[in-house]
Amino acid sequence: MIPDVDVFISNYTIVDPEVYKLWVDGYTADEAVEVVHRNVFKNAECTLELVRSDVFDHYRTYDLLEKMLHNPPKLAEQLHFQIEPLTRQLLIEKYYEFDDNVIREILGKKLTSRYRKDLDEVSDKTGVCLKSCRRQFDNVKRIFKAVEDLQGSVIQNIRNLYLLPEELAKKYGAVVFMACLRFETNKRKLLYLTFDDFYECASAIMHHWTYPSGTWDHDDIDLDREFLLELREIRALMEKEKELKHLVCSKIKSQMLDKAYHELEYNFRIYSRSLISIGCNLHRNRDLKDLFLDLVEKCIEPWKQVNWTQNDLKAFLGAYKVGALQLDTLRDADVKQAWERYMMVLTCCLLRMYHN
Amino acid sequence: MPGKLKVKIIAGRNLPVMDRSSDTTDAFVEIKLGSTTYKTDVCRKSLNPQWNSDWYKFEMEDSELQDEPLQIRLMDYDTYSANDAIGKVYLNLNPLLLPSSLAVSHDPSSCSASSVKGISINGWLPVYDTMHGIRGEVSIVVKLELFEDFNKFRQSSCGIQFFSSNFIPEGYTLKTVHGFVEELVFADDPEYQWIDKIRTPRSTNEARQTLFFKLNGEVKRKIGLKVLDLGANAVVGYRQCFDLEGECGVVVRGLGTAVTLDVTSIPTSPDSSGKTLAPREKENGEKDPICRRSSDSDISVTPRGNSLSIEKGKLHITPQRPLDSFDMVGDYPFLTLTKYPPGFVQHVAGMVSARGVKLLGVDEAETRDSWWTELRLEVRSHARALSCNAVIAYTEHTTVCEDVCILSASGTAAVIDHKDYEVVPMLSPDANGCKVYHVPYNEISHPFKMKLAKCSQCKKGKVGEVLMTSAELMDGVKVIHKSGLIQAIVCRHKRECKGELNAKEVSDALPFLEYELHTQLMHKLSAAGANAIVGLRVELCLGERVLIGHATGTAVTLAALPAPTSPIDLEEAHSSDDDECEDLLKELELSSGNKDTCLLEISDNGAANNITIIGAPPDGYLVSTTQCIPGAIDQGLTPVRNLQMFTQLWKARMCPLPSSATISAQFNRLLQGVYFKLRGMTPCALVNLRFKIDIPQQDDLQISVVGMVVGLAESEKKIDNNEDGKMERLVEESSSKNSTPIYRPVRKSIHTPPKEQRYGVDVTPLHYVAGGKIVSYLGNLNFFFIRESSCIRETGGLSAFSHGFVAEVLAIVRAHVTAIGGNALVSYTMSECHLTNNAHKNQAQCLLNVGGDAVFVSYSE
Repeated sequence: MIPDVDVFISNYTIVDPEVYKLWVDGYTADEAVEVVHRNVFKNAECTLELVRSDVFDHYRTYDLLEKMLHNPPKLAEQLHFQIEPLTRQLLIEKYYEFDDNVIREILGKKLTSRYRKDLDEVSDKTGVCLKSCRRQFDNVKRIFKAVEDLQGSVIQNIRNLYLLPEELAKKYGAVVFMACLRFETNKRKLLYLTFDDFYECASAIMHHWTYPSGTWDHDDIDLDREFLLELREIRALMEKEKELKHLVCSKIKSQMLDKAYHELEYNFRIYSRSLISIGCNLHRNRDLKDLFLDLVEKCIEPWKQVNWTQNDLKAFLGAYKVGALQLDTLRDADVKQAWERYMMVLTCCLLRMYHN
Repeated sequence: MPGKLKVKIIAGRNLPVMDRSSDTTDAFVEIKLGSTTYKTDVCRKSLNPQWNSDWYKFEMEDSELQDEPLQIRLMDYDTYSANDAIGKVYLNLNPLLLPSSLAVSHDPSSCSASSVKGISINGWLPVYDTMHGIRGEVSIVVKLELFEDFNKFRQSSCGIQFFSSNFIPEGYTLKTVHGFVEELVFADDPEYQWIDKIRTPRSTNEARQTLFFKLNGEVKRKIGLKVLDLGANAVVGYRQCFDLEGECGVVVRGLGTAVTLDVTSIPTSPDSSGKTLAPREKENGEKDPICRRSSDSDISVTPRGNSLSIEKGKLHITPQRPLDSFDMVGDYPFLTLTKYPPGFVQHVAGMVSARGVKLLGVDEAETRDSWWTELRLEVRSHARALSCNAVIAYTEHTTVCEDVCILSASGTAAVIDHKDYEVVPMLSPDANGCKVYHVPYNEISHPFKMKLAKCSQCKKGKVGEVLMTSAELMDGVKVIHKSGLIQAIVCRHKRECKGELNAKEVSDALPFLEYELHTQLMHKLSAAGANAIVGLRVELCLGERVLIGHATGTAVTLAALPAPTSPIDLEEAHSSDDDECEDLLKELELSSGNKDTCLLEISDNGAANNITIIGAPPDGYLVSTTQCIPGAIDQGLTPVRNLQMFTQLWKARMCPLPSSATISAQFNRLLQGVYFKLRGMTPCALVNLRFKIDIPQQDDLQISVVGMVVGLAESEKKIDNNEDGKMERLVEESSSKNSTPIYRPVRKSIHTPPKEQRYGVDVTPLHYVAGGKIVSYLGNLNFFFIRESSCIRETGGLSAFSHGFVAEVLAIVRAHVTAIGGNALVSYTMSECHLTNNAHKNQAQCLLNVGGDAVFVSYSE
């Protein structure tokens, strides 16, 4: 007999982490039954049927819960399901977890329902279920909409509104930040970058380039405008190129192989110019958006061509930053500070983006 | 005793969007009690309205307060068209009417002798709509002020506390058992009224719900009056059933045991003696038959002639022997508790039952009363025939199909102590408790050859070969290791006919069904290697073409009874003398008081082949139909904490004429399913399993299981079981491993007793909370909900519909428990679960009746 109704309801909602994971990952109930059946201890002759009934129960519960998962604080308030706090935390955490490669695709895209329709491409590319892609897209969009216009630290806001653990909230914070500033991430040249690369870069920018925490308008989505304007002053370094080259080269000579060193000596001008010009133009929105593209085109590609190692890069950027400070061009303390803030992020980003 | 009820509506939250154009709701609240209605202001454009209303006051007679639920209806204001209903809250006011004299309070100073305590109900309650389910919550505060009034002609009976608990509630001691109380109320079912043809399903369902809530209050109030008459102060073992008789109407039956309870004191209150005296005074006062119409007909006529009884499958006809002790416990010496304090029950004889097949017509409550009277008399006479003075663990049950109704009454015949149960006799250490299972009658007085044996423990008393009882296992009785679930299912096919013919068809089939059930039980019992069944429940279910009987119980091996025979010896044993009795003609002779008896002598040699051994539970599970776990101590396990109350609901279209084996297999599969789902919780015990078979529509079979999962842990002190016993068990376990499915390896228990407050509201069908102590009883709650939907496919199918509904009802129950200050609901029962659907119309309807005792549990040591 195929039952019309076969349900199991418990007073405290039971969540099976394994089945829940499958549900979150977008498996259909039937696929989930197969997966669970493969892993379960097989002994009874009717195991498949039992597994099916069990998995279907879980799926029904999760389907009923899904709407409330969209607003996690409501999950604690609602009376419909009695969920113990630990279970509740698990439900929320797993629901908001995402696949890095899916989010990498979504990064920089406009979060519109039109794009939602194109998610099957993302699904094909990443091998993640369409349903799961949609969930991840919806989660990002929901969180983005909720915190976009809120005051205060975006990460803290996400933690409060979605009860997420800190790590996850930071990731969402970075995604929201990237979306707010509309960073270009999808040009062909940028495709090699992973979500983690962007996450680290965005975190660095959020940390160093926004209004510092403690000030009244602290908000880690908005960049510190005054700082960006201040950065224009570093153009002065271009005029002192010779001195700068000298300082840097003398510092770095011992740390680099001869070949690389000679190459640096030869091309210093180009490298220095691109670093400075990127900084100078950041106050222009268009240039800010293209930050990552500029970094790749102007810095990373040339270094790649000459086969720099990570160490070379690190040594160079360190020396370059210190060298500039030693010049008396950057006399103003504000400009000095701006230079440091700028280079801190740039070092971080470039090192991260420079894959071997 | 008039009272003043004050209601305040504070706020709403998570309300549904009622106005699509603006995506908001303009909500207001109607508060209705009896014929008085108040309205709050409209809170415009908010899904989380704040009303913070003034106090709405209702002045009511307390009899009305007992009958009427407070109805809180949320509405969406509409300027141009009719206002739309969002949903309703039904609030049972009886918890406010509880006497302080019985309240086990944390603070002894607050409970003064005869004043009525003014507690309040306050909290977020789910707003329920029959078409959409829960739609948000509303926060309310309800307070009651009662005025003292000692009018003894009153119609109300507040002050009587009801307990669903099958045992003396924790924190109380039993002073006196007054006897059986019951009440039956009959009403027209709104669904079957002509007006139903023109009104919406929503208003019909709401009319029904309201009616059912009122009937629930009325039945309790009327029982309360009887209890007052008896001079008792509480009802324990209270059961309430709704018999939906279709076009004939609806019958609400309540039954319980009237008792005088005393707060187990703690020598703090010097006036504790006064507490119990208060109701006694009323007892001495004149009983007024005019204002207290008791629903049962006069049964002063004692049955004449011989009575007969069924016990352990053997027939006894004993000469009528009036027993003085009968007078002690009311008209009927029936007790609905399943577990008794030690020493209260002296002997247990065996199951007694009576059934009647009735043709429903446009009858009144009186007709139904007379039907039940008939059955009760019969049960009583069965008990007398066994020289017993009482029937314990008594239950009544009906099944209706079209206009034919089968009524069943059953219990366990027993000899009990005097009605004034005063002292708790400590069992002397040398007594081994076997006395309780000695037969209470004289062997020679029986006209039949009976297989009685010497008690194998004390070698003095006589014991039967096997024992079946609906009660729990008695305390202090020695059980030899094994226990397990045992069940028998018999499905008999019948012709499809109407009216009287149908009734005849059914009553002709009944005796055979009972016989078969019994035979199956006996076979399974011996196959299980046990010699007694405790917690046995036999229920019938009538369909248009089938009659299904099913019996579930817990098999145990009592040390007192003769060692069980192995299945091979069984046939031999059976052919000797296994007699079965049935009074075949009883159903047709409705008027007869003196029944003819006939004897069925059947030798069943061929019966052994239909034994289907029920699948034993996998390792790590202990299963029982009783509240305690007979096998736990034996395996060195003790229940430490409540894990889960679960409801399993299963429904399928069956082949038109299913066999007993098919249904039995289905039961098995359901159980396997439950084991599988609980695989992460072992070692655990599934206790108080309640199975229910229903045939909601033709060819539909519905099975529901409600049970409790209790976490077990290795008890610290190993029981000094004699070594050989242990060895035996080990051998057994290893052998059983081969046959039973194992979902996970045997492991040490991870369950620990709950340390602090458990999260939320624990709902349990047990009368106790493992690992916790019940501090106070806050009232007996009973809910009847109806859910209907006409978009089943769109919302995930019938399974999702019923899953959602059961979850919703549990949510409402929990919210109400919280609102009256509780943190658990004990003795939870689901007495009705009726799911009908029409796949073509994409419709379904489900009725659910649940109830229990709201309590506050403390978990600290």
